Order: sequence, then structure tokens, then C-alpha cells
Amino acid sequence: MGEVIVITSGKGGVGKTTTTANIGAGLALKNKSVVMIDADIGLRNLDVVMGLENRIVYDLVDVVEGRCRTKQALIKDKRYDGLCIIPAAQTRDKNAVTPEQMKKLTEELKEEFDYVLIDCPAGIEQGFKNAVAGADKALVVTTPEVSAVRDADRIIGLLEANEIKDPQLIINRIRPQMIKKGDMMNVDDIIDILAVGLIGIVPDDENIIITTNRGEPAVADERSKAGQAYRNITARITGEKVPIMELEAPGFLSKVKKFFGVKAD
Amino acid sequence: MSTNEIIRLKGIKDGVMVIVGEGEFDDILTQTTEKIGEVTDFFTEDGGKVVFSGANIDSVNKIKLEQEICSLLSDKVEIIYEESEDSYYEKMIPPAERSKFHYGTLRSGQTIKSLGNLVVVGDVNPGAELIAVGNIVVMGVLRGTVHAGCDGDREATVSAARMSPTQIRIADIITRPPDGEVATEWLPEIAYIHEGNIYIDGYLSKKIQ
Repeated sequence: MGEVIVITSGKGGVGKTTTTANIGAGLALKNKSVVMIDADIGLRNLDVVMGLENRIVYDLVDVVEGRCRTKQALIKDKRYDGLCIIPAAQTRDKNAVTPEQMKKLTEELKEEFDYVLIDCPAGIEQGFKNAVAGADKALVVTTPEVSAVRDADRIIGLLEANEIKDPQLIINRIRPQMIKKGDMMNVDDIIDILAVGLIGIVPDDENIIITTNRGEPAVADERSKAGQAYRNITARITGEKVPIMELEAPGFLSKVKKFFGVKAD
Repeated sequence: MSTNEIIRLKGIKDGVMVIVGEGEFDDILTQTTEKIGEVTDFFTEDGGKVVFSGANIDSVNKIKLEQEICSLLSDKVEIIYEESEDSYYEKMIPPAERSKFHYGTLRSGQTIKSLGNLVVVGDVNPGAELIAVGNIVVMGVLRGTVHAGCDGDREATVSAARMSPTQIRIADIITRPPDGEVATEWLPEIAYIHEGNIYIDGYLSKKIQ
């Protein structure tokens, strides 16, 4: 029996889809069978981030409306064995699916897969209700911005109201340099307000934009700091104990090294 | 109150009053039949009154209860339910003097209202709202909006283990913290109205500090 995990945030643009893609790929790298469901009907992205857009035949709405079998809508990833996605429909909207249908689908999928990851849309309306309907656990993604933290707080409240207890927090796009200068909320400030467990922090990394555009999750990139962060989160999801990453602001020496073209790390 | 004392009987004119406390319905049912069983000779062939007071009993359970009582006494027994508004406990303690407790963090979008006082054992985050006819006490960090004495009671107060509210309202007066000033230390404070303005003071005596 697998586990259904919803990845949510409330606010848009904090990295839900990127996080879903990376955790999915990360779990697949650990030889787990994983299915990712894109619940953002009408604004589908997950398939693009995974580079699988051109393989879509059937989508989530086709499955719940019975136009195809669940198996037919599963798109196998081209790089990782055991990783599948069910894409969202692009021509419909959030009301095309009901929470009951999502619950039924996730029940069915968790019989076959170790992990069912649901990429939740932004907002707190129908799309959110659908995405959390069948979830056992939740990961809340936020960035060190006041507005994102505020929305995360609201979402945590709504998750608790939906009987999803103890959601875990991912703080994305941390810039150690700015925290050091006191220009950005630090991790402790955020935990203080949200009062939930932290499952990982992800540094801001330009490479994420590059890998996302190419349709390759950063988690497989050994040199990427963000990739390392996602590998750590994946390990924690599978129950391993991994210390939270230390984010050091690049010091003076490394800047000099960089200036002279010596590799800093 | 121990679990074997959910209900109490009280003699009234031509019948008994059953004062129901908080408890499982099954326990209420068994105890009611047990206790009324002890006083069956209190009732005559012509029936009498059984008045239920206190906790609300839903309609399905009412039917079960009535069946039991009728089989125990006679079909002519009159069963009356006192609504919670004027029930025994309501008469004893008016709503305005009661306190509502909330345990845990109150998050953005959540609202708690109380006809009496309101106590939050946890933090109140920005975007959350507390409204009370009486006083408000937050045993954590107060970051949200609070309104004490919402019926116009200017004597109401707001206290918190740490004050950094979005807004404080007491009765008809609204105030907000000065811009740019952020409380950084744990200092329990109380807000109250003095001469038409809201003041905030520490409430611990120097000795305790």
C-alpha cells in the first residue's frame, strides 16, 4: 500500500511543480515506483517540466470520466523506470473533477505505486479541494517572502480542516547572502510562524530554471545545490535521517577564487 | 464530574427533572433508566412529567429515550425538553461569563468568536481573527487581529504572552501598532482603554521580571 502526498502552497509561483517533479524523480532514483498527478487542470505544467508533453494521449479528466482506463493515461518517464505521470487536461477547468473522483483515483493508484504525488494548483478553491481529497500527507512549499508564508499559513489551516495532520514544510529559493544581510526572512522565523515540521530547505539556484526549461529535473544533477537539497528531501520522505543542509553565504575568499576563475567548491 | 454521574434527578411538581451533563448518549440512556427505575413509585397511573435539562439530545436519541421511559413508567408520561437557551446550566452561568478555549495555533483565515471571554493556548497568526464579547487572552504570540468587548464593553482587555498584533480593537476603538516597530522580545502585555485610547503595558510586576 503506497502513500499519497499532496504538494501545495496556496500562493502561485513558489515552486510546487518543480518540487513535485524533483521529488518524483528523486524517489524513482531510489528505485521506488512513483506516479505524479497534475491536478492543475486547465494550466498544466508538470508534463512540460518533465519533458513529456508530446506523449500525452489521455489525461486526468479522461480517466475520471471513464473515457480510458487508468493505465492508459499513465505516461512512463523517459529517463527513470518506475516513474509515471498523469497529466492534467488543458481544455477543461477545475470543476471537471470532484473530490470524490480524485479520492477514488488515488485509492486505486496507491495499490500499485509506492508513492502517489499530487501537484496541487495555486489557490484554495475547487482545484485545492480536489488535490487534497485523497491525500494522506502534505508537503507545503513556501519561499522566504511574507506573502508566501502568509498563504502557507492559510493552507496549513485548511489542510488541518481536511484532516491532513502535521503537514511538512519545504522552504524554497533561499538566498543565504540576503539572509546574512538581514534582508530575507530566515528559516527559524518562518518555522516560528508556521509551527510545523521542516522537511527541507532548497537554495535559490539558477540551474533550476535551465533544467526546468529543458525538461530535466535537477535532482539528478550531482553538482547542483538545489538538486542536493531535493535528494535530501527525498531521503527524508523515505524515512532516512539526513541533517538539514547548511547554507553558507559565499565568503570573501570564494569570491576572489571565482574572480580568478578557480572553482569555489 | 466522574463518568458514573452524568445525570442527576431533581423532584419537581408532578414529576422529576433530569439534569443531563456532558457525556456519551449510551451512558445518559442507561443512567436515566436506572435512576428513574428507582423512583417509579413517584409516578401515578395517570402519568406525570419528566423534564430533561442541560445537554442537547438529538431527535433519534430522543425517540430511544422516550421508548425506554414509557416502558418503565406509563405511556401517559409527558416528556419535556428544555432547550439549551434556558437550560439549567445556562441559568446558572450566563453565557457572558463563560470562557471559550482554543488549543493550538490559529492560522490565517480562521476566526473564533465567543459570547464570553476567549482564551487561545497557542499563537494567533496574521490573518486570523478573534472576536469576543468579553476579554481576550493569548497564551502565545499575538500576530493577528483581535476585537475584545465587541458589544461595546470598554472595560474589556486583550492580553498576550507576546504582543505583535495586526490590529487591536476594544469596544468601538481601533488601534494598530506604529509602523516599522516590531516587538522582538517575549514580554507579556495587556491592552486596555484609558481615557478613550488603547494603551499597552507590561503586566508582570518588576519582582517577577
